[in-house]
Amino acid sequence: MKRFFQLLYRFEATLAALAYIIVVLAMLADVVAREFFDLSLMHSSKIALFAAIFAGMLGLGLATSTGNHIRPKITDQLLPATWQNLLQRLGDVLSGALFLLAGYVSFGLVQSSYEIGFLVPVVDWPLWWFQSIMPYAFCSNALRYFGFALLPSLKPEEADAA
Amino acid sequence: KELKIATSAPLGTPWVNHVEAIASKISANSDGAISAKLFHAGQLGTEPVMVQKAIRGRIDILGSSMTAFSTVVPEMALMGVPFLWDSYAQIDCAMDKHLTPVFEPLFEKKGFKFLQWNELGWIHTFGKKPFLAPGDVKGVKVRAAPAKYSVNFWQGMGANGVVLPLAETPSALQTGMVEGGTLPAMTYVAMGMGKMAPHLTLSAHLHQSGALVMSMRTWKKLSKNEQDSITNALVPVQGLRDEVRSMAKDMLAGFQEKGGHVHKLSAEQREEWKTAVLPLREELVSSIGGQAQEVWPKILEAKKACVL
Amino acid sequence: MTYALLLTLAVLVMLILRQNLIVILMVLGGAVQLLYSDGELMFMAEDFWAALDREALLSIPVFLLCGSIMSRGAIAERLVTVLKALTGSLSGGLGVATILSCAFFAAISGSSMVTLLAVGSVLYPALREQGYSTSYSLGALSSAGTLGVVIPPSIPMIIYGLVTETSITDMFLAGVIPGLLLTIALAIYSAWANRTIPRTGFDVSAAGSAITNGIWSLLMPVILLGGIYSGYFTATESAAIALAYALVVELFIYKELTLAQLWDAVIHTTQMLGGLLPILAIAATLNMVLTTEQVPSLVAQWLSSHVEEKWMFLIGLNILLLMVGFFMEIISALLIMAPILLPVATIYGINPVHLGVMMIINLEIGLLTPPVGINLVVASQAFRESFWTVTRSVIPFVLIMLCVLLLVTFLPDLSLFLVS
Ligand code: NA
Ligand code: NA
Repeated sequence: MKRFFQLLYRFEATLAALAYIIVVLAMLADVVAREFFDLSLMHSSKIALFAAIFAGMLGLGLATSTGNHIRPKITDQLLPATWQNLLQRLGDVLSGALFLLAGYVSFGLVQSSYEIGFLVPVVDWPLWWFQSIMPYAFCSNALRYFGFALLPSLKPEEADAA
Repeated sequence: KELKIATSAPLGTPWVNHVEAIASKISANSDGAISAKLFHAGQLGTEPVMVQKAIRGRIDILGSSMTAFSTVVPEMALMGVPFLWDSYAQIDCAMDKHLTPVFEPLFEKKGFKFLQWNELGWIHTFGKKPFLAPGDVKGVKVRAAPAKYSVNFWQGMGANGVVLPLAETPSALQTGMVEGGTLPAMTYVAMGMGKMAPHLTLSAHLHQSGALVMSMRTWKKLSKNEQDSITNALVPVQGLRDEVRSMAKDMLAGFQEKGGHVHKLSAEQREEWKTAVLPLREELVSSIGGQAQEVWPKILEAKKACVL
Repeated sequence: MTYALLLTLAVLVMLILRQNLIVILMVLGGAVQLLYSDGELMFMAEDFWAALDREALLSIPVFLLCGSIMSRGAIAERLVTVLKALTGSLSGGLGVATILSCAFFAAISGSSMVTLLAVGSVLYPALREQGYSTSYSLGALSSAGTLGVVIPPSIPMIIYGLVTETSITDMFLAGVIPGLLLTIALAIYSAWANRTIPRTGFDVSAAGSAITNGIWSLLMPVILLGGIYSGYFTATESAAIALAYALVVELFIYKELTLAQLWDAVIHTTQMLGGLLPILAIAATLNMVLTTEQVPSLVAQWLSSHVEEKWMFLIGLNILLLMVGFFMEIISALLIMAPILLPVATIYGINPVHLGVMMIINLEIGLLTPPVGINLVVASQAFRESFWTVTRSVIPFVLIMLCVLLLVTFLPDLSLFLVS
């Protein structure tokens, strides 16, 4: 299972980095084409925007994998320390379930956008192509939390001190 | 019952007055059983977002532009084909007498009850220098609206059309990123574009319409009586048209008084613009999805029937 | 009332079960949507997407990556070296250099978080080493880090411009003088608070070589702001230009950044983005519920019907915005409050650009106030100190910023002088 999550991380990190590179290239291409070649690239700003959303949504799972989420810790001392491991695992189950729900709900949105046939302004791409990143990202994130609950050793150190 | 009515127009404009009038008639017709909550100035999102919300039933009545509706009823973009229309009388006649039954089912298929047309008026051209012939804009950076027909128009004119959101246009003019653009006269004056690009050419190269629609989800939940109290409340759109058009005229007069320049195109000049843009028309029409191929001939027929 | 009680209980349970902020906000948003508003969870997903699908948001990831690269490479460091060399002979020299570095860096970054991270990663260890107190070091970096939103280019100003249809370029110009005032006030306080720390003396040749080495860093704000004001790129696009410039300088001129570090920066930024973007989007869904239920316009109506004098309105406006700043993140607060406040402010004859600057400074202070204070969170995360230690450390700085806020509020020309 550890191997699976490592592969998932590598896969998503590569995609996210790729998306990031696309964002920057598309934005620069826009400026260069306009200023030096008297051309306007109709698609570049939309490509950049959707690539940025992809990077951000994939980043959700990457942040989970590396313990980079902000977590309020004011109640951490409230219950005995010996309970913390149990609470943690229960919490991971809850997080997993909630992200799964988010995945399900956003899948409903994608389905509805597909059925209605919304288009991206100017470029006329179907909107649901891009919205699909939401159910994917939420579900892949849910998977991680279920993984933590089953095998707490998978859970990363938290990076923050909030 | 409380209906949510939304528009991107700000308070005090003819569009908000129009929907307010309709709202109070709805409430009167239903003896107060239906009331309305008005969201102006795009509080519920950008126009395309409001279109989505209306289909999903979060907005009950929506007044929006053809540009926004074309993200779900792509055929609406045909109404904005450059140099399609010759006069307001022709447009009104075509829409009211011929095209309502063409578009009604297209809207219905996407989850809208078509209530009536909307009106934003002619789109004109403006620049830091007078734009009177296609040669004046050759290679010049100009703002294109985020819509196919706007891009297509500038392409035909040989300009470098930069797609920019409306809100970014004033600063882009200020810094010289763009040298001009296209807008309805009212927006041009109201947003103070005239200070940075004081030459407005009345090119009337395309007409921006729109629609007032109701969410089908809401519509189907209403009783026959309630539906009637809504359809009977629709203040005729001609009043809105007249008001929008005369307000545009007044604002242009005020703009000229303050030193703005308004250029009219002679018949030959307009012909020159048309000759430049028309070769790209077919490409535009065939790039529009949905049932554009079937709808387009009907629009041309309607136009022919309305030669005045 | 029962609902409110149940929600509070749910939040408590989630806190005990160690849920992260995204989950907590998600549950709150969903519950509020179901109980008080349109009533379907899918609408929340719709708002979530609408919040992401905004071109102005595009500059945020790019500015984040840019900051991450600059702090890994040499740009931030050389900038700091120049300012350290120039301020060494002053009382509290490194403290003053901290403030000035943040201000300088703010002029190339669109967000306060980036400023805080880029300058902080270089200067926090240096400050501690030279004997500056934890409390001062944390406070100075967290607070001066917020200058990024007042000194252009600024993502929040872009957002304000977009939602109120005010010229973004005007907003940028209007931020210059208030930004400088804030910088000067914080610098003076730094010199005074650290007057007992030994000075290092001024070395002309060291300063000269620092400037020579740092020239590419020093040129960056000139290129960015120059490019925006001469129309080569838009305020949003300036993020990409900043990034391209930073990459060229780091990879080909300073050559201190390795490709492995660059990869690291990209991955690290995606993780940061993955923590941040969903929070922004969920906050936006909560705001949409508020708008749909017309809460902000009721508040604004109440305000305009109870307040007659302009000066009273201005004070009330600032108090309202400070309170908003306690609970809301800056971008969401602007999105929700700006369109509501603008018409009210116009009644009192307040210029939209002036209103924008006031809002930005108020919400800038909000970055430093608990419970929702992004800079407090980021600082505690970056410097490994507890949230409350950081919160306490910013108090003197917040008081100074409030004084500058008063000046900006009652002297509109401070904002409007440079605007045509
Ligand atoms: Na800045
Ligand atoms: Na706060």
